[in-house]
Amino acid sequence: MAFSNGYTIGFAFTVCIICSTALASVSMGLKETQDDNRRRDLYKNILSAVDLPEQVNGARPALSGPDIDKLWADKIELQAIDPATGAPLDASKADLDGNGTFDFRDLKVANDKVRKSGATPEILGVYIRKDTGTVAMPMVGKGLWGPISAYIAFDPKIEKVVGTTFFAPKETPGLGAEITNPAFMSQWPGKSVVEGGKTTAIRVTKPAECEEQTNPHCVDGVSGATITSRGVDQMVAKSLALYEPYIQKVRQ
Amino acid sequence: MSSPATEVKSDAPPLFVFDKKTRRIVTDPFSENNPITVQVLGICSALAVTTQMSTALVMASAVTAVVCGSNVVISLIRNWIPPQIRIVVQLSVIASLVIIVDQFLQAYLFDVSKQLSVFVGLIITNCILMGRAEAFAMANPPWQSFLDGLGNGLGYGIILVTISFFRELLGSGKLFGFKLVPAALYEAGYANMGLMVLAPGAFILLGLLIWAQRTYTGFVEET
Repeated sequence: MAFSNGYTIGFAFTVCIICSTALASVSMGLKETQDDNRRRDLYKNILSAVDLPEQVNGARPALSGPDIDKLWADKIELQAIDPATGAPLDASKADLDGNGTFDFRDLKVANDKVRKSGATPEILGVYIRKDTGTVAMPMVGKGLWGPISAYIAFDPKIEKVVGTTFFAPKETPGLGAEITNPAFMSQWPGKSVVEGGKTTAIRVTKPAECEEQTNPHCVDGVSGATITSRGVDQMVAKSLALYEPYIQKVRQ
Repeated sequence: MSSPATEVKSDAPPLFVFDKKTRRIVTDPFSENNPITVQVLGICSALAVTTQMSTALVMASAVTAVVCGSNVVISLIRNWIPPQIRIVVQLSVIASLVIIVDQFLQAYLFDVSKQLSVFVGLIITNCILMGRAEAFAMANPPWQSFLDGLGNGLGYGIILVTISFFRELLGSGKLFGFKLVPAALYEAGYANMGLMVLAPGAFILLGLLIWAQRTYTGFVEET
């Protein structure tokens, strides 16, 4: 069967229209459920950084979606901070995306602006676990292939790390992505960010440069992932510098 | 006067047939013409997603759904597809179906979809799908094409599930995430086989599987 050029182009066009309509409607229809999943995934990661839900036999129980939302609402409070003074900021002033509430999306808006322009962020935020006062700081940095981020939770005086969650969506599996491995993250609790009354960052490097067993400011980096490890090192140093006014206020 | 017996004769074959020949379309890819062990297609994902049974099962279902769907759609429009652009049309159909499946996984099986990450998207480049579309669906009616897709999807799935069974059991002592190897055995000195969690373990298992299967069916590659 011979087909004219006009027919061929028309056919291709029709296929495109049908495929894109189908994709667009599926994407629209499922968007809400997917957003819920992503939000709860984020909640779960922050909760795990502040050691929630309580571990049973060394493992965190799996929670259903609504349970995560409930635990989040019960235990976690998001505090907006003025980056210049470190003073708590009224939530209504921190509503950057204009949806009426201050939540993790506003922090994302602030971070994206920083990433584009390199300026200091308009707002900072910390997640506070209400019953223990544990403070989880969102941090963003650069890995080898793309952005890396973390939630690092500190004791209420912001002196010692109590828990972490790392994200390395673009890093090489088995190398850079190992920073999301529990073995790497388990090094962090107990590490100190204070030395002689001043805030010091935690170094992520080779044991030869900084012995992680004896030095409370050192974490063993991932072998074969120097750039990612350095990225974590930089991320923690820069983020702590950003939060410094707030940290000083907390420690007073 | 009796009216002549009217016998309705139709040249069109019935839509749904289940004779021996049609059944073979489904059963052939299980063993004699298995897409993985005989045609050695779709190896990449077979190695990547088989560390756990749950991911292997979801991946197998996703591939089965997509290959059935794409075979049916392509078979339905096969007489209208201009030959010059047939590969592009096949790819568009396959890609759309893969994205739809991926969207559903993200909505309803979020954790599994996070583990499968890029490999759901990479179903698009899985040779089994293009191969079945080009070799079968372009020349056969929808019902047969559907069965062909089902057979090949399941044939792929059988291998995935078999490999993941051994990898999860030997590599982490679990099945579907449940601890099967008793703690007493670990105390007695048993250790999980780290090799099984890594890609080389999958290679070795797959090689053994191909060997066993080809010995059984007597398949010899033409040289």
